[in-house]
Amino acid sequence: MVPARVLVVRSALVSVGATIALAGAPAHAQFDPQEPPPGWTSPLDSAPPIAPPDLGGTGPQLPNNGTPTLPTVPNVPSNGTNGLSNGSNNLSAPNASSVTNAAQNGVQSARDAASNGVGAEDRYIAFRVGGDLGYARLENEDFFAVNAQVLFRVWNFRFGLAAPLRIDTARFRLRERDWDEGRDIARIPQCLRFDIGDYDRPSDRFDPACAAYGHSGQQHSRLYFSTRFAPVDNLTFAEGTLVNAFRTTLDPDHPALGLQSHFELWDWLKVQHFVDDVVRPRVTGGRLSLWPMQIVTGRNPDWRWDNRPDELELGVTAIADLAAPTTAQTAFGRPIVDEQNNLRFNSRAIGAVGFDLHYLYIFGQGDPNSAWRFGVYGALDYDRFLGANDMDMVNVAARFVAVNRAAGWDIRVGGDYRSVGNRYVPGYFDTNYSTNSQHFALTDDLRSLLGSASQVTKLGYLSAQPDGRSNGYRAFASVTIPIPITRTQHSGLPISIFFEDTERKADATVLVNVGPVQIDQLVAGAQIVRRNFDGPSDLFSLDGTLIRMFGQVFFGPPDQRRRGNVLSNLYFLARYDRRWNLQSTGSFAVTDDVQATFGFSGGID
Amino acid sequence: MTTIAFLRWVVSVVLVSALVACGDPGPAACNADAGAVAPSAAEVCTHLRAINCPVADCESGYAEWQRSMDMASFNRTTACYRNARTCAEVDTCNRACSTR
Repeated sequence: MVPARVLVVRSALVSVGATIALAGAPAHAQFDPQEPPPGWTSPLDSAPPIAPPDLGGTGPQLPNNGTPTLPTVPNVPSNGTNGLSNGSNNLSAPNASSVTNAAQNGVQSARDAASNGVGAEDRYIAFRVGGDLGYARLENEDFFAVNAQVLFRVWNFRFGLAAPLRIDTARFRLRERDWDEGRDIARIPQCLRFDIGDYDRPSDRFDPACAAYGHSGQQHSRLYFSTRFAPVDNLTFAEGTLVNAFRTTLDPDHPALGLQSHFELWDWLKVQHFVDDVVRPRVTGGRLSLWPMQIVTGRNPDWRWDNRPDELELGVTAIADLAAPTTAQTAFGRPIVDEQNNLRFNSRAIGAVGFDLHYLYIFGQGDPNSAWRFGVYGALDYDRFLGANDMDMVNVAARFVAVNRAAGWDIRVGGDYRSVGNRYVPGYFDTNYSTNSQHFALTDDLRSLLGSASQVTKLGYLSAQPDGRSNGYRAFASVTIPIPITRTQHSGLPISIFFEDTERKADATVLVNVGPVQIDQLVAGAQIVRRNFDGPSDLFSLDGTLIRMFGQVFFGPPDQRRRGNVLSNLYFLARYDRRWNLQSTGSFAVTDDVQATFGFSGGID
Repeated sequence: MTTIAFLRWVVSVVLVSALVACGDPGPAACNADAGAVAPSAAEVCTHLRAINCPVADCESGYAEWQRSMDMASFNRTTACYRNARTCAEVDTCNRACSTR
């Protein structure tokens, strides 16, 4: 006799097989495109130049009813059965990055619904070309920026390519460092992806964010697989205690093409995996998320995601740095670089595992008398590096959640307590990791703390710490402010901030996200991250601060793009990126990069 | 060993190799004699460039070290640099030659 669970699994495999067998058909059978609502804004069709910032690695993801969090678009199909949860984005873990991804996916879903129109889902191929032209300032040099782009899709394979060229304004010569070595080929692929299963059909537009697609259908019937070659940018797992806004493209002279994969099986589990650089892999990891209540009770409708006021999630993360720098190689006390201007290191492999548990409960579900709904959320995370003492952290999080979906408000406030081993840093694989793993002392506070040892690597610094633990905390707040677009529609401006610190010196972090926000023909966003400084009194400083800002304005209403309005395909794009790049001296310096371009794209999609 | 068992073994080995630290490389060795004479700055810096280990402002670094280190250590270390064939060996010279 075959156990019931086996039958269920077999059923799942049959479903997967059926999905694959139907590969020739549109992959988004559950999605029902609708006409764009009047005034619906879709400036992200050409996508922001940076991935939407995460919300700081904290904060539960509230079930969102299939309506995009950013912006709210009433016309998007909403299949949720309980008014709270359609599961579209719920399988993203209750973390801030997922919230943002969910928002982005929701935006994409809405945008696609709005921009493609009925019948477009039958297209087997798509093709689009475009380009930007303007000014760029990079590492204190001025350039003409020319960026040609090509996008084509065949069935579920989509390829977004670009040829970013920067021409010196003084000598009118191509910037050599952009194309002087093999790894620069990573500048060309912007987003090479394969998606199959249940997802909201994307519009075939340039999409540097290259995130997994959302789904407006019901989570308990969703099967989805995605694999994507693109720079890894803003990746967070769970509460961000181990992987927080991880980014591999800080240095403009060291591009990296990463790989990310994503698999969802109903409301049972989700698997994520990434490699930071497919040419020279160094950091790789993944996370498995399970929803045990849904698994244990099978697919009983009463226990489906859609019908529950609560959700329990368990997660396991594994991540390794296969060549974590331990000590910088030096001569005469100065760092050695190689021919490609990489710092030379002694290194070793390190690996970490993380376990997390999350629980969310929403009160007042189904209450017709109140538009506001309130929830509580708690999480427990434990992360540990293998083979090292006191290289671990326990994190306990509590959050209060309030939403008014009709009006567009979304408020989350909470705090974390953590016990941090002396050889661990919260969010170890963070935004700065590609830089501070090589050179940890990136702030004045750390330089003064380390003195003559300021060449030390992150692992070298932490390994030298004595045994012991310290207490730490994190304060988190986020709010999404509704901004009216028309009498019946609103966009949302998400603002979030977290501040964390421990008892140790130079261990504070602040992260602020504003946006991305879309208001008619404008999309804009900003992210500020500052790490390794001494407490709140030293909060406002540019020292060691990473800043990203972007804004994009279309010259015509996006909903007229398909009606032949050329202006709707024209846009102005501006971005600012304060980051680090490696100098020929072997030290990292801050670079304030600016780009402002006019762009156009056209094609068949 | 069945195919599945073999694959399981391979996966285990790969994962363990990836996740567990590789261990210390062992004690570093100094490749210069105790009575070595320091080569010139130009000689050392040219050699470092030749083995693709460029050092920023190499000649200045040489002069700074010469002032700050005891002569025996400086002589051994720079002589060691001259014999190094890789960047890692150059770095080994720092640790192995200047502490004896």
